[in-house]
Amino acid sequence: MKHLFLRSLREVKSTLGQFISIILIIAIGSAIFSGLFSTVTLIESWLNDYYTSTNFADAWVYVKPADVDQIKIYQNDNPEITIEGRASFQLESVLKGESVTYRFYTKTDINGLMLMQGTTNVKDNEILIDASFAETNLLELNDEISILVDDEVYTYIIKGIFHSSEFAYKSKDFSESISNKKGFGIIYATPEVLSELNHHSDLYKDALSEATIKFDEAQVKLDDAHQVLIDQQADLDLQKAQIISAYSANLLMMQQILATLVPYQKLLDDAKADYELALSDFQIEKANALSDIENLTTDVFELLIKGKTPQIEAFVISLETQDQYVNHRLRKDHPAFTMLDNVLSPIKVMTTIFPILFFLVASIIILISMSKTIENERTQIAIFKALGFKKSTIRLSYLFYGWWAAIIGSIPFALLGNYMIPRILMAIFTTRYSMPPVPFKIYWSYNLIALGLSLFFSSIAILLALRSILKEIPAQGMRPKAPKSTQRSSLERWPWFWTKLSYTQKLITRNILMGKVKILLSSIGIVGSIALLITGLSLRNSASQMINGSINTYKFQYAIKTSENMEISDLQLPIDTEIIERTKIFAGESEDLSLIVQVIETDEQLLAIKDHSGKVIEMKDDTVIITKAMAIVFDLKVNDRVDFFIDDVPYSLIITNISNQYLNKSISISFTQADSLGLEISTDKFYISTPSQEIKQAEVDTLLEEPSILAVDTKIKYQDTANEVMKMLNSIIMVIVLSALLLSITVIYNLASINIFDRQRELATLRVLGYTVREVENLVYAENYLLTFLGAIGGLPAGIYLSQTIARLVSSKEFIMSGEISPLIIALSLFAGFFFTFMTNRILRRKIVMIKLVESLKAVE
Amino acid sequence: MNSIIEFKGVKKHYKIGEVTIEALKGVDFTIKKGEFVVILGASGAGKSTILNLLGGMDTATYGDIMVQGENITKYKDKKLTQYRREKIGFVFQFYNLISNLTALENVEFASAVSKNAFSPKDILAKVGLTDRANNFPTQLSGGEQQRVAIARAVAKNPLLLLCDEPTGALDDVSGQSILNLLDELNRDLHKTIVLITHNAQIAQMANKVIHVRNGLVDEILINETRKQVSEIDWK
Ligand SMILES: Nc1ncnc2c1ncn2[C@@H]1O[C@H](COP(=O)(O)OP(=O)(O)OP(=O)(O)O)[C@@H](O)[C@H]1O
Ligand SMILES: [Mg+2]
Repeated sequence: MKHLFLRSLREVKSTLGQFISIILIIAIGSAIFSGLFSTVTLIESWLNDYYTSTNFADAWVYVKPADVDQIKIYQNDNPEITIEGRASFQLESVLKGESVTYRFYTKTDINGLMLMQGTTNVKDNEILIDASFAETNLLELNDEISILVDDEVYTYIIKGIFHSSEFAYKSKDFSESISNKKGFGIIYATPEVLSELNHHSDLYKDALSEATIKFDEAQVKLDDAHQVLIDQQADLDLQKAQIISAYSANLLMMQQILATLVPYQKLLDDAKADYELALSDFQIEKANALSDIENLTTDVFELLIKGKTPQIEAFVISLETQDQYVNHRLRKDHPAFTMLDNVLSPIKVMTTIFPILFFLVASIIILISMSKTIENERTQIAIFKALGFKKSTIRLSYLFYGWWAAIIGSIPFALLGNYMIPRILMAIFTTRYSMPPVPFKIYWSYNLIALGLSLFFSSIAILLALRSILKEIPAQGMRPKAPKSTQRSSLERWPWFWTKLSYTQKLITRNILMGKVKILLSSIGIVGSIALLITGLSLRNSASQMINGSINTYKFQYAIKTSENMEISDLQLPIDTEIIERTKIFAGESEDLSLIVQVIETDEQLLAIKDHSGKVIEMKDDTVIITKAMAIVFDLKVNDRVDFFIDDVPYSLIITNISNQYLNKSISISFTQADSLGLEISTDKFYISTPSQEIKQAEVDTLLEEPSILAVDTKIKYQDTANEVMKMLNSIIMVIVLSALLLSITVIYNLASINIFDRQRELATLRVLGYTVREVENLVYAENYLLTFLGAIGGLPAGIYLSQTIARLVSSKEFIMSGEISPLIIALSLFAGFFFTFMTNRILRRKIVMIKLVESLKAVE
Repeated sequence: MNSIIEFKGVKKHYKIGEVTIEALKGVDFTIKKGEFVVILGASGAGKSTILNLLGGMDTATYGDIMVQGENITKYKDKKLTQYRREKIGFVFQFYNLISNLTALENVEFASAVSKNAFSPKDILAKVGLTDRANNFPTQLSGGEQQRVAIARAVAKNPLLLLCDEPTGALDDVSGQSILNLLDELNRDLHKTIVLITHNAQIAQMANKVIHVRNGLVDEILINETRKQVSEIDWK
């Protein structure tokens, strides 16, 4: 036992290169296994905690204005669910020269906040702001934010900075596919602040102005009536005075005549009393109406719900029957929930594919190399048996070898993977998200499973390799192995082909055709490597399709927002411009999914929307362009009808073009078309290009000095957000390409070095015959290239399948990956595959140069 | 006749860790063109070492090895390869045929690197294996394999044919037929042959017998008359 143990250690020493490469591939498998599984578990469990601790809502229900009493009624009528009302106010503003959107909320128990800094107790001039907005805009605790609303400036002090599970993915109207950390701030404030701000809400202002007009009209009528009464009284008084002056001598006469006026006076007095009554009624009514309107500033439109889906649905139906319902959204459809799910799904995909691939390759390499070692040691094994060792003991001696590799490769690298991979993946995937830092953990169970898998796969490989040898009886083992009958390869049946081959080529062909099993096995590694390369490149291609189709075509330099709706002719721009185009964006909806409707100029030039072949689509009055993303999600083609709603008004248009945009769901139409559809087309957004075609900070500053310009966004800002996505994908692709590199190098290096070791005698013979090192190298290299070629044949379909599967799994409703594979991608992957082989050949050179002629030839066959 | 080969004070040291093994301690001898030379000696005496140095498979530690007036100990790897390619035919105790090439292909393969090679088919006929030309090594007996190995060594028409115990793994009959073949090659084609053996009988068929002991040349005998293989008493 002790000797067997020692033997296995010496064996490690004598086959160090092979041993290290086995360790390496077990290490990769273990690291990836434990890393990916840790990441998934980490994110899942942490998310659960986050949702639980912040009391994440199960549903958002939007209703007609409801006051405190109304909400009480809802709560009493629906005891199975928890209902909370939340006031909100959204406005466009400017922060440090850039346009931003603020959304104000009152604090609620449902969708609670995770406070990062400061306090949640705020006074009426204090607010809490979300951490990602604070971070990207360099805002700190106790900084002030000034907001201009209807010519009034409100200034608030930041007293707390928070994260909110609801706004883990900050998207203003759910139509943006790229989260908006910098341009969208979530603010929590007291109900008083909300009420104060809501005095500037359109709803309030409209209601107030409508009421004011009505009351003013009524007031005018009342005033007119009052005037009539006054005039009549004056008449009456005049008559009285005339009578009194005319009959001053005849008092009795005067009395009698005046008495005839009494009924008139009475009538008049009655009318006056009626007027007074009407007036006070009017005033009470007006006061009531005004207080109703005032209530609008504290009424809520949004209810947050915790509860089971059926009960929530029941509540929604009851709201509909009471005509209170506007809209609702369940947790599973909320971007904060679906987007985080989108993070997990690609990782889960990798989790299912990568570790298995690496473990499989590891066991194949162990199998092949151990088969060789064991074959070389046949006699030894026979001697062991002749000496009376049990088969199990012999097995154990070889198993030790594999276990060494498994233990050395698995334990440290599983831990390393557990440590590194979640950090890397979280860093890659969460850049788009606004979340508190995730506490990383070591998952011992996964590390143990990785070790278990390594031990399992290496044991299986070794036992398989030992199987046939152990069946032999000792005497058989000590005799030289029965000659493997060499056969002519099937290619030789075509002499016209075969005779054209050189001896080297014949040799390679026979070597490869006769080691069919070995070829098959080694090809798996190369198949995997090529498949990974194709996948990586195709994902990158899909990603750049997304970006190029969306942003890179933009021809404008600046997008400006003016303080009020304007015509282009009214614009007073302090810089040189070349083209100015209007634009207007509506939030729309179709089949419960949000989309945007962008109105652009007929014959527009600054967006230069392109179709799939890269040609710019001509924008005519009746052109209707939908994005590729939208075409895929809604399964639409040119000439199909697209139905959608804007503000609950239905619209239907016939699609004329599909753009090559994979990012957003949007419909582009002309101003003319929008006008004829009855949409309000006056706008405050304009695209501008300059003669220099360059973005200059000085021009941005000049533009901002102009009072009528509220905000200036540059094209770079659009690119930045897109680049964020690109960066994330690039890192994934790097990981994939690196795995491919490792895989192919380990596989080819291992097989070739086994091959070289195996054929030392043959290669040495060649050298003795006078073949140069270069010629011998070429022989080995050519075999490797041929292997790579065979692997590539299998790798192509595997890669196409893999990349399409991954693209499908990674795509979501918001984010479409085409998974398209171009000939260029295939060429590049093949090139990379052959390049990896080339590199491996470089490494192998040393091994060939180092073959010792005398020694290799001395050994008995 | 001038000698084409001259060993002058050739030493070969092997370093294994701290220990230095002196395999050759200063060997001197000459070989003339067309000679049949037998190197005789006990196991471990240094016979193979001499042959390997002569064949350019290894380099001497000290001394000069002159081949046709050139000192091959000064050769770098590239020149040494060329030397092997053009001048040396090697026959091993264990054949060392390339298992994935047929008998004929093994011969062709070797002759392909030489400029003035013999026709592989002729040579194969010469070793009496025309009808086994398309067999793979594993389909041939040991003696037949050794014939192929000799054909392979001769085919490229080398200056020297070096044989390291070519009959070591063969029975008497096939061993003798191999020796006959070598004798013929020496006489008909005037190939210079150096053959290693520890079988003293074989020495009788040589022109020159070099006795090696303990890394040194013990004595060099010249046979006035060479015996035919059939004339030797093999008992
Ligand atoms: N690579 C080597 N490393 C160390 N010592 C070596 C090496 N090759 C040969 N020797 C030693 O050199 C000496 C001569 O060896 P060589 O092979 O020349 O003997 P030989 O006469 O051919 O013996 P045999 O008849 O058994 O083949 C021996 O003592 C041997 O142990
Ligand atoms: Mg020897």
